Amino acid sequence: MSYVSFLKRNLACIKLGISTRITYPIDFFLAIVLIPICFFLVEAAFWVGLIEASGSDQLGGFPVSYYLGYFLYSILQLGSINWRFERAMIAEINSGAVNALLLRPSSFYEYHLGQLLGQKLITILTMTPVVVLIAWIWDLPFHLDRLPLVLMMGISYVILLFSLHFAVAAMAFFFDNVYSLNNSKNMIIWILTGELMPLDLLPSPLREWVIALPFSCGIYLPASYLSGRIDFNMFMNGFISLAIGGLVFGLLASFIWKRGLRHYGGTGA
Amino acid sequence: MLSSIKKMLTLEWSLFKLSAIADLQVPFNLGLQFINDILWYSMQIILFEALYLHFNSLGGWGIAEMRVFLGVLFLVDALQMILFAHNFDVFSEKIVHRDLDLLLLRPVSSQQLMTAQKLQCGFILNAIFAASWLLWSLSLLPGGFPWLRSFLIIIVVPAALAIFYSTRLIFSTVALLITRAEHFHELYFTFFKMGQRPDKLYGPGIRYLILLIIPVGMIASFPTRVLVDPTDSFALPALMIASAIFLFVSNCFWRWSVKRYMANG
Repeated sequence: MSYVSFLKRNLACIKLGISTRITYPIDFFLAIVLIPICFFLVEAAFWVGLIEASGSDQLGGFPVSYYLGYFLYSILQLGSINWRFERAMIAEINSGAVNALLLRPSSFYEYHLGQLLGQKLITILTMTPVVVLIAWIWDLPFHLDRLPLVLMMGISYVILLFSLHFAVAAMAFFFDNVYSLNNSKNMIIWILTGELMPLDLLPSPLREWVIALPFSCGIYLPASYLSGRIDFNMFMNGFISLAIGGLVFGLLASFIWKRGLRHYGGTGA
Repeated sequence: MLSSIKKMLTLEWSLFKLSAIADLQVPFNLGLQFINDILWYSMQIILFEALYLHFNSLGGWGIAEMRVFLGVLFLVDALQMILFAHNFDVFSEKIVHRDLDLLLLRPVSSQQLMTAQKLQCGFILNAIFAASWLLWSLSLLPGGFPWLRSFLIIIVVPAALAIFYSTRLIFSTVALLITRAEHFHELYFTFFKMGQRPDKLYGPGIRYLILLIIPVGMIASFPTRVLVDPTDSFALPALMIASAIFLFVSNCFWRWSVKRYMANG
């Protein structure tokens, strides 16, 4: 019975996330469709221009089409940081709006994770056909049969990263201003996911260290596997780092939240 | 004209002092702001240093010229972080909360109060870091750098800053015309990403877009061209003319949008 109610309330949060996302059509179009496509086109223009300007056909052993295939994954926004979402969580703790959520049967974690997953799901549903279409029109290296596994990694990564965001947001129970700390965390993640460039372009041994971290499951591993840049075994290793990372960040989030709540109950944020 | 400029500068100095007092009350935050921007600089440095492990030259620029490019980019970015970044970050929020209505009643420029009211003094440290990086990278240019030319920095950097300001203002002003405009802010930064790379790397179509229509390509590339290539007689006048035109256009767009906002709400 409790399992059913758990599912029902989380489903409600997911639906809330979807409806929030699609309420304003212009906002939805900009955030889900236009900006990610513009981001991809900007990256495409840069990497095409870069390889042409170098006078070489390849970079790091791969032709330009592999770079375009790599950045195509960013359109699905599974590895990108959602700044507004995190700021909202922090603001709710700072302003005391968290009180209303604490009284509800669902937890703060479930409420926000459900909404985030809802937003990501509507993004996947809307943008996957666009990604496939671009890959088909531009004849990019894109392994459609690998997409289900890649999406599984993408959604697992969203949950893992949410635990880390949640841990930092819960620091707002202790400090007046954690926005800068949140920005620092996001900057570091940005470097480590491979959103800036494929991580295999980094010099060794930095490359191996960065790829071994769970953050590489944000962009580098799924994008590289989808575009045929890496093999199955290397991709599957990502799930191991995701599991370890999930455990570490989950425990960290739980610890900070419980301590924060106790502190908040005593003195307020 | 001169008296209104003097009035604006006096007001800005007062706003600076007020912002500095507010910022110094949260020193931990100041330190983190500095670190955040250093992390952003590191990302750009890592990108190009890693790429130059694979190439010797990109669009005619070696690693030394690319470091100058990064120095200009960091300096312009640090100055915009000090002067107006925060105000643009909360621009749509202010419009939603009707803060503009009160500002329109004051006997000073509403544009100045909307875009340069809160300064972020912590980024002065970043500006010092960026200026040091720029001077260091200029000293590493092959063939040396005639230091007399360094006075050009005080011409090209403000011009680049003016382009940055006016393009951001145009994108932000859309918030006066539609209900939710937060994503125009993100859209601007997607375009600005093209300005974070040298314009010579792009094809003719994209260069046309980022140099003439949304001139984010001029923010770091043109000042760098002025500094590293004395034979480039086109970059400096183009930069100055573009900055003047875009400041004028953005101000016209602001005034037209405010009029429309006052009429419709």
